[in-house]
Amino acid sequence: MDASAADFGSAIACYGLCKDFGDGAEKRRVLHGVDVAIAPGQMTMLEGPSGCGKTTLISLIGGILAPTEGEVMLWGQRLRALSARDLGRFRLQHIGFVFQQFHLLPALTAAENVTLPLMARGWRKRSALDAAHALLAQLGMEAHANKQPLQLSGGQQQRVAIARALIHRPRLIICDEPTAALDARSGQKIMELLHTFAVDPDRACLVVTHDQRIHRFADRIIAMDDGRISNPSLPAS
Amino acid sequence: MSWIALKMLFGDRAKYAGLIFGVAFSALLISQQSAFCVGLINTTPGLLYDIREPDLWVMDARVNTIDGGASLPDTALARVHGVPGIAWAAPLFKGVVTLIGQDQSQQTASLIGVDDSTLLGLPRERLLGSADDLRRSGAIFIDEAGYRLLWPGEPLRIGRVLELNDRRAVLVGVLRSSPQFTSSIAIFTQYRNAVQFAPGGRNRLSFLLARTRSGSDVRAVAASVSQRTGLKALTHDEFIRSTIDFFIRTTPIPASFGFVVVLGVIVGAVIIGLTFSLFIRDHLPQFAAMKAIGVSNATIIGMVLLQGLLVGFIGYAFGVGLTAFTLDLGRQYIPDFRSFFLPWPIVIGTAVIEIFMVITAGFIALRRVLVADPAMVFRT
Repeated sequence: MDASAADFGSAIACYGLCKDFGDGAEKRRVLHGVDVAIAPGQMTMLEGPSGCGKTTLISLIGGILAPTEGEVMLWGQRLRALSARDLGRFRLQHIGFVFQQFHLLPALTAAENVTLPLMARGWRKRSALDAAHALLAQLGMEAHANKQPLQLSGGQQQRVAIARALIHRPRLIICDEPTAALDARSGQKIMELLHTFAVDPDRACLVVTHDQRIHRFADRIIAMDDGRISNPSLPAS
Repeated sequence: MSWIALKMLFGDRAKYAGLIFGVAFSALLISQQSAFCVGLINTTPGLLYDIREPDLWVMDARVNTIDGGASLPDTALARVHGVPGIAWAAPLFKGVVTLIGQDQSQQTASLIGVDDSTLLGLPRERLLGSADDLRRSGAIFIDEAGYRLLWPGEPLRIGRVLELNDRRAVLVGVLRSSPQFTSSIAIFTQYRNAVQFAPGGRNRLSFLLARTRSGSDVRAVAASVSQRTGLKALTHDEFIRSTIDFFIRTTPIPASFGFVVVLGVIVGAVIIGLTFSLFIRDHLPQFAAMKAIGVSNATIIGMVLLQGLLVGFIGYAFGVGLTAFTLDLGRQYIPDFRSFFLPWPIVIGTAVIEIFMVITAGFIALRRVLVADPAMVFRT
């Protein structure tokens, strides 16, 4: 399961992706044969109106949902070829997620939240906490490392979520509306941080957004409409 | 991930407390009611635990318990004595008597009349007085619990006068005997005194205590006694079993205590199940986020089971600890509580029931986690 074993040049490659929800008469196709390739070392933004299939597409790319038809390859690894258990391990090793609502564990401190991917990989608590404190310091959150999420502002919580997504050095960062729950100023700061820390020559960063104010951080913008890629190579403005 | 599971649990204090309360309440009901039931049933052989010298108890064929019923004619003693294999036999009276204390309070007491010459049947653990004093006319011994009930807070003292069925009785000693089911007060006297104290008909002999000759097969001698005399002869252990079985079969004790135990299981299961479900429901987005990140189902199952087992252990410790504490407190201050204790099979049985409830509740709640779509983290 070595993702780097077969590098096809793209970090993410999707072929003819279709996704249906429901059964029988209730069946509804949300993605209609999406083909897209995303290069490493860039911040790629996925934009489009609500309900156009952005979240479904990142769920398929992140291996959280399985496509009805088509194929997703991450760093040369066909996700369909992986068992559910191996897919979980693959996500744990290669993908970092930043959610719109942060989804931090309220009972844990910021640093403890950041350790989650490391703990799930079997790290010792002390080592994981050391790594978390170091990363939070890089993100300017050193003073808040021992606070619980409810003691932090939205922007600070999202920084913690970004640290959690980065801590295990994944090769793909998937961000779902990372600025949607934040005010404009916090949103800009979060995007600056993401651009600084998430974009790496050996890493792809895929950001789903509605927020046109953050388009300037994108190296590439992919527009979606009605379950299809409407403009696969729109350059960042 | 264990410490993360524990912090999640401790972080939700209301549900953490609710779960512990549910387990503790259930464990308390189950262990306490079971202990009461066992304690009460254990009092039914009462006297049998104190009289160890005979290896055969001979009685009327209709008698099932130490509290007797039908009595034997006086001639039974000689008939039993004549059975080959019997070394000795002695009479025992067992009845109930109305007792009036010096303050004119009226109580019902268990009256045991022991062999006039050998005093066979008198419990050995004597706290005050000499056994020889029992040979005096109207002399009685009383058990300690009965003494405390009649004269609460007063030091042990002999020479007190009581009225047993309108007859004067003098207290010459205090002893310690096993609690009895029929009465909280046990009075011991010579056989000849007992038949005077207790009203009755022609036949007054309740039991014959017999010892088989050394090297005899006790069961074979018992069968021989039955065959030759038409009386029932039981070994010591058989008579204990027969007495307990009779009370289990014919009284509502097991059913009434059992009902409360079942209620404890049901109430506990409902509280634990609902609270665990609420706990899991409230933490579902967090579990979904973990699944999205790549935390395996096995790890999540382990986390939930750890949470369940921990609250189970703490709640169980509280519940069973409270049972042990209340029983101990009761034994110290209430004479009637002396037969109530917490046997280890109840401790283990309660633990097994609690573990089963917690694991079942955990697995039912876990289903929601395991089927939870991790993609929900993108929608909420």
